[in-house]
Amino acid sequence: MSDTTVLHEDIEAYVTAVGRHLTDLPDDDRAELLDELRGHATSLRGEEPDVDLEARLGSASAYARELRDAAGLPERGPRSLTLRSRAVKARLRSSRVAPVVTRFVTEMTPLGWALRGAAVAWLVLAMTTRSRTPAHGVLVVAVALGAWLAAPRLRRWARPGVRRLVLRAVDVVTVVVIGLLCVQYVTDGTSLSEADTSAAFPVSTGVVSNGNPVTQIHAVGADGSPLTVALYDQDGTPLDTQSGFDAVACPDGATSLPIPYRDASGQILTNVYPLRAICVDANGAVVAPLTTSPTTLPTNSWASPAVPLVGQHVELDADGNYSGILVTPSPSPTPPEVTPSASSPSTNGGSGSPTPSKS
Amino acid sequence: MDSTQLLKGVLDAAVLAVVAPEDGYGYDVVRRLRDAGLTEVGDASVYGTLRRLYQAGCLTSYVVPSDEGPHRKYYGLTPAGRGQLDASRVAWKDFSSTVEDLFSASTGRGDA
Repeated sequence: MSDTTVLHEDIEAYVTAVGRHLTDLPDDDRAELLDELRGHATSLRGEEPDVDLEARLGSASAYARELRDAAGLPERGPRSLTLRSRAVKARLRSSRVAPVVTRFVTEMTPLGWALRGAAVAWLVLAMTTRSRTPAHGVLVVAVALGAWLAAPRLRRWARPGVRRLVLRAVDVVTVVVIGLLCVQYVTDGTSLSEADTSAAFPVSTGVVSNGNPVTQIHAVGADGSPLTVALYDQDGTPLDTQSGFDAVACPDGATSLPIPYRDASGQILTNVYPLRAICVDANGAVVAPLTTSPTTLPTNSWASPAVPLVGQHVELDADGNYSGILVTPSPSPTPPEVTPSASSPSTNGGSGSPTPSKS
Repeated sequence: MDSTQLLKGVLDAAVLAVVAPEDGYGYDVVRRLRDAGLTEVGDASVYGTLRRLYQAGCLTSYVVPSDEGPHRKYYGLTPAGRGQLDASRVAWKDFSSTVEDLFSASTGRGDA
């Protein structure tokens, strides 16, 4: 490596160091200032080959500061969002993909309005009703389509100042709603297309029936007596209503105190039904006895028809429901008769042991 | 007295003054100022001032290739720059005269 190269490296290193303190300036301005500095340092080196640039010109930061001060350039600080946004926009505009992006954004503008419409409709429905029906899904889609078609008019409407602020608010709502749906997608592990139409509406984290959260479950045996059961879903996961045992209504001034079942290790079981609770006042005194629910349960007994075996034929009633095994002339194995059996009764006191059952 | 602050106030006029007789590039302007006695003038200050005066329309610029290194950017006075230089000259004369009088008066009272 020659001495000349070393000298030039020295100059370039200094110029680069100064450039680091001018990164907030527009590229052209910075390049111009650094070119002049490069020429200046080269002239200095030409007259004084051993000159120490830092000793002569000051540290890179000091040089940049002095240059800004004399040139009337603002002090370097955290770049405002506006400046950064401008810089990004300027770079995008000058890029080769800019025309493609512009065209894409223009064509996608109606989609943005459709998303805004759907988000607002979703939010209004979510706030006004907890039930979810396919009609709600249709309404959301209809509003989205309407917004899509009205995109040009809406765009003109939203230009003036205050309306623009309204539009920004709607955009925030849209982003939040889309974010919530994404979270739901991730946590549920199901895509919206796979889910029911009503999945676009709020879904309870517990057990849901007709769109309403289930806070209590009662099991009744074949003889009409109430049962205490532990419930699991199709995967063997405990079926938890997520109601927090708050299924018992208490009089004013009293709060519901859960009396949960526990397993052998003392762990609370949240899937043993019916959930039990007592009502206690502020002093901890019980003001209402142990109860599971104010609901009056039907006391009808029930029975199962004979269950057919492989090879047997089924008989349907007028409504197409299974009614029994079709009796044919040819001999056939006699199916086992399933008769109503009295399950182990469980009192409200919950002294009976839970009977696991798969749902 | 800290001449740095004084220099700040007159640097614009000083730069216009050294460019007035003959166009010059940055390094050249720095050298002319120092040769004239403004030895404490900072290199970066001169370049910053040249840029500001150029943007204000007081200076014009053009690039000349150099055998010694990068191209050199020469600065020359524009009519607006010449007007500012004239105005600065008048203002400086008034100012320096006023300060001279103050110094003279203070010297007189001190001697009395």
